[in-house]
Amino acid sequence: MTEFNYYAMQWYGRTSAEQREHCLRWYVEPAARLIFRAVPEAQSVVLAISQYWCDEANDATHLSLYASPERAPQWPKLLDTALFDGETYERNAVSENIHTVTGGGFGDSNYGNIVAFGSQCRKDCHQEMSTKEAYRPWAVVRRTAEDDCETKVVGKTLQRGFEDNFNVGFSRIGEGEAEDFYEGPGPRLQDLSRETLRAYMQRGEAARRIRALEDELRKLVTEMTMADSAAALLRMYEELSEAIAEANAALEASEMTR
Amino acid sequence: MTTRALPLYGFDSDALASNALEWFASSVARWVIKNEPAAQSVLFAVGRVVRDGRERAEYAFVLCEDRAPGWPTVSSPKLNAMLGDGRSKTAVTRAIRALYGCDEVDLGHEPGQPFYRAFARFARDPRPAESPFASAFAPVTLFSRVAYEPESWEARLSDFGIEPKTLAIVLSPECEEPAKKPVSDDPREVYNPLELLEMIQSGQEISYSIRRAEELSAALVAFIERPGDEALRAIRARLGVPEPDAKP
Repeated sequence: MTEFNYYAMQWYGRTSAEQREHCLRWYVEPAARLIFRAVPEAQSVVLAISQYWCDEANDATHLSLYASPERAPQWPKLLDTALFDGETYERNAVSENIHTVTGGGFGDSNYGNIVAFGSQCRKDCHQEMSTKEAYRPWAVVRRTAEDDCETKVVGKTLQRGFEDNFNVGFSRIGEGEAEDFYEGPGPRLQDLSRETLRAYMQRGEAARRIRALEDELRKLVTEMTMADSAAALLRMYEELSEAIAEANAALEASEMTR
Repeated sequence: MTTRALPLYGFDSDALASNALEWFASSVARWVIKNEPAAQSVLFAVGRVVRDGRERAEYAFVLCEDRAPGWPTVSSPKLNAMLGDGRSKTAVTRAIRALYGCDEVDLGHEPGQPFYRAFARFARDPRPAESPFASAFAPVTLFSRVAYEPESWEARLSDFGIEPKTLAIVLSPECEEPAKKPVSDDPREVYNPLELLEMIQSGQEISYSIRRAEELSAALVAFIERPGDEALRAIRARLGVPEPDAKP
């Protein structure tokens, strides 16, 4: 049986533009409508974006929502005038309504957000910079009658190499070796050799098999008793040993093609 | 009655279904659980419905007073809210109005369109629109209420959340999309970029996966060589599985 996603961490779309549209229609606008209902003084909600290069994955793109009492908020003045400013993770009307829409997620900072919004972010931002410097507004959602909203996109493409490039966020693909950290988006898929691509896919398949076996084992030991454990665990041990051998071979093959 | 079309994207029917469940059904269920204290769970169901001679795949939400209701039992008629057939307008319609600013969300319900591609396979045979609900619709997901631990990160955002359980089974195999067959040894000619990257990304941290699997393997060897509660506990601990008698 297919396992579906239920936790909103992924932007769907075949292109970066479709993913940004997905983010607006399913995340930003629903959250804004709820905020407008809950907070009478909120007149607009701003989506601001940033991309960092010294983050946990050496490339992370973050999205933030700010509620403003103004219909035409100015950046960066908004950072001082936003409602509930500085309380991103505390319980307030912004975070609580984001939770209602997404269950707490803010997109996938190390992959999906980069594909969708990396091209729209300022270049070379890092964590030593202030929010004012690193972030830029991308969309303004304004309150309309009957608690509905209208959206204006104010962002533009600043880093064309990230647009429609799905090969991003792979800074750890070489397991942390310094030379494997990209200084920008990775080469586009069409520029990778066929052998490299196949080796990477083989590696992905091997890693997925290990995770599936872990899940199976987790279920097994949750329900099992001592009486029926020996044979089942022996079988799991054999399968896991085989999967580890396959994964080592896949890792070696992928390193040889680079 | 206002309808708003919203985009469902996905490279195949599973991705389209994940998109709809992740962003539409989950959000509606979470709003209902938050705003309707009597609702302990929300069922998301689909049906192939014939209206004006044309077949459509439609969605319905059913509110339940039980966390684990049987199908098609709905314990309390007053909580039974459905969309798609116009029979009742309660918390679900309020949820859709609050989230999407309309009465109904159009996700592409006709054959070949996104919602149909995602869900028609989980529906029963096409039925006339006036058919009884339980004979026309089939459950896809049950979203049950969960209360967070007071000190948890989620509890700082909201008191309640939802726990999904997949109930979908393929009832209309003729609506399943055929699996892709490799037509070339170049993966780029078989898969689209998003599919490819999902496959590649799975292997990003393979060294870590191997190391963890080796540690797990050692715990299994210890059990095989010397079976006992202690060795079983070590395996459970390695997997993060609580002991059966452990207090939650």
